[in-house]
Amino acid sequence: MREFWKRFAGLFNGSRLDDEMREEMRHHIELQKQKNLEAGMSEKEAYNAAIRQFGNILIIQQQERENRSFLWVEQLYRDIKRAGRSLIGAKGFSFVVIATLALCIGVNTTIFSALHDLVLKPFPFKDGDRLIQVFNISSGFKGKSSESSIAQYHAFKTNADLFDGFALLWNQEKTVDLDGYTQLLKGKRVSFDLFDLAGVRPVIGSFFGEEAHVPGSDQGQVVILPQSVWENEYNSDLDVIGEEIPFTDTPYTIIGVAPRSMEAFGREIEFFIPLRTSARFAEARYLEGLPIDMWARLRPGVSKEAGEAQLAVLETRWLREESSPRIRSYLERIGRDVQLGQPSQLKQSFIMLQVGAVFVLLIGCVNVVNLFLSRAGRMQYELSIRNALGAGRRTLSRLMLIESFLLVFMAVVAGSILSLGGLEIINHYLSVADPSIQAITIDMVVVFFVLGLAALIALIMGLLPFGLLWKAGLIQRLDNGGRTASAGGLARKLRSSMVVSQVMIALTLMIGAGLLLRSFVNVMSVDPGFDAEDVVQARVTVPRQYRNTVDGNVFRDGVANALREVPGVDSIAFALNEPVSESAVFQKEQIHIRRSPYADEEPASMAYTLVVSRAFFDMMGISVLAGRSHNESDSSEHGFSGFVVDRSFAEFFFPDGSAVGEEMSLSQRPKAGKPWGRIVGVVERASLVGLESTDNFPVLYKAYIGAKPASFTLLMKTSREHDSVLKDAQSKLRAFDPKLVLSRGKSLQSVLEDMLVNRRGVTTLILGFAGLALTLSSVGLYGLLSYDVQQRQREIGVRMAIGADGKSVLNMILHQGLWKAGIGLGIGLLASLYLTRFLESQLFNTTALDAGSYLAAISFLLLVAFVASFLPARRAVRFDPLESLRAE
Amino acid sequence: MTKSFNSDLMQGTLDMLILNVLHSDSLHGWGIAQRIHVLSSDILKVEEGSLYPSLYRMERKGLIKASWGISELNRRAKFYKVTKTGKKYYESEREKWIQLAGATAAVLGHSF
Repeated sequence: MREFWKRFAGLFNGSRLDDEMREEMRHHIELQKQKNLEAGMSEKEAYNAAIRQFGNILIIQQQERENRSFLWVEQLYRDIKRAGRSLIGAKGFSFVVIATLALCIGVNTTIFSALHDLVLKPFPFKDGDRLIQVFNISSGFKGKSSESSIAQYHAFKTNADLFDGFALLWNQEKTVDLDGYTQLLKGKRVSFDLFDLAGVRPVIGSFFGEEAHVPGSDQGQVVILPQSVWENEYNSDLDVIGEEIPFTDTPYTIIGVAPRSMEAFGREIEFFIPLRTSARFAEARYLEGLPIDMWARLRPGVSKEAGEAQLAVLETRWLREESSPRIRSYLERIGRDVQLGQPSQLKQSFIMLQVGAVFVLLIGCVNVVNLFLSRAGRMQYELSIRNALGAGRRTLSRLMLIESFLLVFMAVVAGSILSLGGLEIINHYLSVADPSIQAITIDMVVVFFVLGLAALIALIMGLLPFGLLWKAGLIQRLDNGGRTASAGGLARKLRSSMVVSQVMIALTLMIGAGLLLRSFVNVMSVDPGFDAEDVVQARVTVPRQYRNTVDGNVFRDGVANALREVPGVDSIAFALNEPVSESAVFQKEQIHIRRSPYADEEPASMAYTLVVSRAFFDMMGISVLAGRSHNESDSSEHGFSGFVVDRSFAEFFFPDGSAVGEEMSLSQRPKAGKPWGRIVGVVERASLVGLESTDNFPVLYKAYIGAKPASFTLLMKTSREHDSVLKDAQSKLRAFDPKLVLSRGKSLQSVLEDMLVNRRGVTTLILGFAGLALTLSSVGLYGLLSYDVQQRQREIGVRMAIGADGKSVLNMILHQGLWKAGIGLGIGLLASLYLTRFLESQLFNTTALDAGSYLAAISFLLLVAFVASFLPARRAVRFDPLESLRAE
Repeated sequence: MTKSFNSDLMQGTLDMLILNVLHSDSLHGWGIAQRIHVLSSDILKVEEGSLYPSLYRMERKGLIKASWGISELNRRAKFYKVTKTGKKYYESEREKWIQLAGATAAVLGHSF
């Protein structure tokens, strides 16, 4: 270390040290001269002898100077300047290398950032990798429902000893009335142990304890603010503790502020309140269908699989020993299963994208190595001369390395800019695809990944081509007469095999892209069972004074009347919640069927329930298969009496006959003496949970009459442009009540399309990757063949001079190119047959072995390979035999 | 008849010789060369071409330290002196060199 600093200092006070050194040596010579004089030499003799004896002062000084400072810094600077000049001299080469690498590095950085952020990075908590979500999957309906139940949570908490704990989160919307306006807030109802589970401490104040969950306890009306809300809305006011938030139903008291890391549980959380439910919810298991998320913390050293196995054992035991036969048969029928982890489609997508990006990188690197090989061939003469002038293997390889590092450095700069842009786009997509995901940022791990990757690429680019030339002994000779020469047989073989591998990788990517494209087309052509065209939806918050049954109806009629005045609105319907959205958002309720042999027991069956007004089915084009749609008699203040169910409901509950006329009730059996409700109609199955969802969970529609919600969804069918209709609707509503606000207005079509954003993004990206791979590999094939043709100019000239016709030369070159492409296609086909199985979860209505996609990819690649081979071949034929012979 | 060796000394040998002569005294470059010459009964002659690089190297390693003083010519000159690290290094290496020299002599003695 000390030596380092001395050398470092030497960089700056070099000239002073030089002077001192000179002085010291002069002194030495003076003393020697003195001694020589004493020995009887003359003045001149004594001096000359002293000088002679000392040797070459300059060499000693130079040596010392080299030792003393980082001479290599100066040298490096000179080398970089030289490399820069040399690269500027080869503009085309430099540009193509930088562009190729920048593209590959940019793509990989972007995707890796996303992958790292979404998949690899643990939660921002202490030992965050042990935090894991618990899912209940019902495979029978192919649904991906994630809800858990409070009873299950208690059971796991007591019995699952491979876990440190469990906690619950439940989305909650609350309204606040401010100056007469009603504002909608999004938050979470959470169990008290969530904060412990996450291992966080309050920023200020405190968190709530278990007593807050006790029904009726006065500890329940407390709220914890997320840090960002505290900072932005309350200016980080320390006195906020004890203040009240005037939620419309009951005011809540602020008791603490949760650190920012808690926002990892979902974006746009505006409050945390204690999760409280009725005793019935707390006791019933599996039945309430609340969209509750359960989180768990594994004990140190316990694997996800072990944890999952334990929960599965607990579930099975409960099912066998404690559940009723009714529940058991139901759960077995829907195929309920416990899973740990994050089965998010997005995350799988990014793993797949990363594989695609790495493929592109590989192809790009192969191209660049190829370019370097050709360049090394061209530089061979220069290198030979340098070698003859004394530059050894080390010096020459350093020169080559500096060039490659310089190029890669510029590519990294350009690639980083690209990837920042890419992340911007991905973040935009993500916010639509999954609002619970935080925006992706580049962090240190990603930076190290990129730098490591770049250094590796630069090393290979710099050393491989030069090493081959050196090994072939082509640099150590100067007898090439200044002609360019091929980099030896080894390099040729290497280049051929690289082209083969490029074609192979490109084919794999293209087949994958073909399968995804086909899936996308399949998804888009799915008949959703309803007509989203021309339907616009918006959320309406109900002002306080209307929130009772009578005024609720008055209000809704008023709204409907006001909207009828909007020009171009054909019909109007209402729904309690947004009728088209992800399945996880839908409410589920228990279904009692009177005719069922288990009607007297606690019910087990569930269905999605939607509350919609009469005009809904008509407007959405959902056809009535049997019976009728809702009318006024179906709902009253006393509850629902007539239900409309969808085809999937009818088939699940009444496989043998018509559902119409069957008696049923929701949530609870009717109390003694109260009448059962009745199914009045069966409608077509509508894919309200999105086009690509295979979720076939039964749906039940309740009539929207007599409900008194704080907000509801308004639907309008119109042939006019959506934004202007929404604007007109807003102004008409203002005229009806000046404090009425429409929010989240958009067309149903765009809601449907937003649900496909993940698939669209992935498909587009993989298609882009495949296109890139195709371009890069055809450039590679073309480059190799052109180089070959150029190298064999003389041979071809001779052949043609002695009578070979153009056609046979053309065939020869074409044959070579297509042969290589063919081998690549063969291996690529085998690789694809294996690799596409990992795509299976992303495919829709097609298999991983879809022959059409394979054929299309192969023939397209063959066509491109043909063109890439044909162009150089034609050039070879056009050689003037005399010209090419003279060139020698 | 003894002959002066001015051929290259094995690297490291010269370092040890320099450390030895500086052990008790601080000397300038010329003085060091002279002292070695004298101590080796005029057999070893240190080349200036190796002496100074060796001095500078050891100075960088912290084995010796230089300071400016006045020489017998009444001029400014750099005087070298062993540091603590240098002394330790010398003590630890000395034994090895003696063994090596003895072993070399034994082997060479045999073959004659």
